[in-house]
Parts: sequence; structure tokens; C-alpha cells
Amino acid sequence: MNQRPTLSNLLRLSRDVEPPADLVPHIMARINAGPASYYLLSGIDWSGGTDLVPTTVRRAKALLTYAEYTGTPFATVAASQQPQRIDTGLPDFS
Amino acid sequence: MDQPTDPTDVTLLDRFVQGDMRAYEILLQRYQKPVYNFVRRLVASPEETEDLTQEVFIRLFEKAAELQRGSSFRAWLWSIAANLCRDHFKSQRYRHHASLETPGVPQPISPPTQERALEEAEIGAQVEAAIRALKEEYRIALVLKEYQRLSYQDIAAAMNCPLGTVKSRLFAARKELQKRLAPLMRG
Repeated sequence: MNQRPTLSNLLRLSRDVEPPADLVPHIMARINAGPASYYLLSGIDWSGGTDLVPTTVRRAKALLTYAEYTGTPFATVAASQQPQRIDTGLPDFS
Repeated sequence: MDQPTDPTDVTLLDRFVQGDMRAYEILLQRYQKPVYNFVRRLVASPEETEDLTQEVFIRLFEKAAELQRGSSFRAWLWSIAANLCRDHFKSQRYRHHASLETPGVPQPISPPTQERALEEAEIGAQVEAAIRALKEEYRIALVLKEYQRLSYQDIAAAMNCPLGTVKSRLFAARKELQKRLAPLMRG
């Protein structure tokens, strides 16, 4: 026994796991909610860009839960959310 | 009678670009597990892994029409995933996230005293921690090669770098891993 494992043997011990069961439904819900909703939620119109993705996706999930709980269409819930101004340190000319 | 064959990725993508949402869903089902596991091996947090996986498929939805005819779908998909992970690392870097810190030296594994599966899972976790501690570009190249089984050519396309760079990154990644995992390799 005590055979020396090779690097390839060790790498094989990192096995694939199943993704969460709600992954596909969440993606489809974001897409089916329509471009306006998922653009709003994915932060594309926000000044923080992709830095904000994890936070905004969590926010999207919270909104989905809210929509399901209240029986409100997700698009309606999402459309009621205004993009929040991100403090970029730049002067606000608006 | 011939068995119906599964449509290729490119066929599905073409159908989706023509407006067939079912084709997008098939691609999503087909690649959710590989993409999730790709991201998981690069990013430690399960929550961030899920968020980034979602973003990969949203990008696929948005940019499907941009794939050049004759290009590799898989290389293109992995380039989306790798770029999103890079953006994520960039945003995390200044915070010096614990998940990206170099893990401690793995402890040598004693002869099996418990269930072998448990022991292997523990070693697997140490291997994953060692992978996550690699430099970003080494990590991405290694995971694409070892777990997604991409060709050097496709890795080069996914990482937008020359073939020689892929080979040198993989060489360096393996060398670094051998150093980090040396205690486990003493047998």
C-alpha cells in the first residue's frame, strides 16, 4: 500500500457537485421577466458595472421570492424598483 | 431504426438566435453543471458561485448572436465564464478575501482509519483550496484543462492568449500545485 498519489490522482478527488436545484428556474425567471427587468436587476445600467453583480443578483432573488410570495408578476415587482445611484465619487450633474 | 441524436451546441444556438427559447433551455440544462463547477473551483463562496453562474447564462442569452460562425461554442462559453470570474477577482482583490488567501500547508493524510470516501472528500477539499490559491490565470487554465477537458486551442480561445502561453501557464500551475500538495503526494 502507500502508493504515492500523482498530481492527476489528487486532482481527480475534486469531484463535480450538483448545482442548486433552483439555479435554472432563477435564470429562466430573470429572462422571462423581460429585458427591462433583468437589465435593471443585473446592474447593466448601473455605474458600478460587473462589480455589483453578486449583490444585484441577490437582490433579484429577494425580489423573486417577494413576487412568488405575494403572487405579483415578477416584471411588475422588478419595474417598481428604481436603479439606485451609486456613489462613484464623481460630481452629480443631474 | 436510428436513435435520434442530440442536437449539437451550435445547432441549438442557431435555433435560439432564431427565437426558439426551448433551444436556450436545453443549452442551459446541458451546461449548468459544468459551468457551476467551473466557477466553484475558482471561487470559494457558494453564494458567489451561484451568482456568477447565473450571470454566465444571462450573458449567453444576451450575446448568443455574437458567436462567429465556425467558432467553438465551448471555447466561447468558457471565455464568458472566465471573463466574469476575472471581473469578480478584480472587484475582490483589494479586500484580500479569505477565500483567495494561500491555504495552510495540507496535513499529511494518515493511513485510512475511517471511510475511504470521507478521506477522499477531505483530500478533494484540500486540492480545491490549493487550486483556488493559484494565480488567477494559472487557475483558469488548469480548471479548463483538467476538469472541462478543453483542448489547448480552445483554452487559448477562451483565455484570449497564444497557445504557448496556455502551455506555460499549465506547466506553472502544475508545478505550483505539486509544491503545495507535496505533503499529500508523499503517500
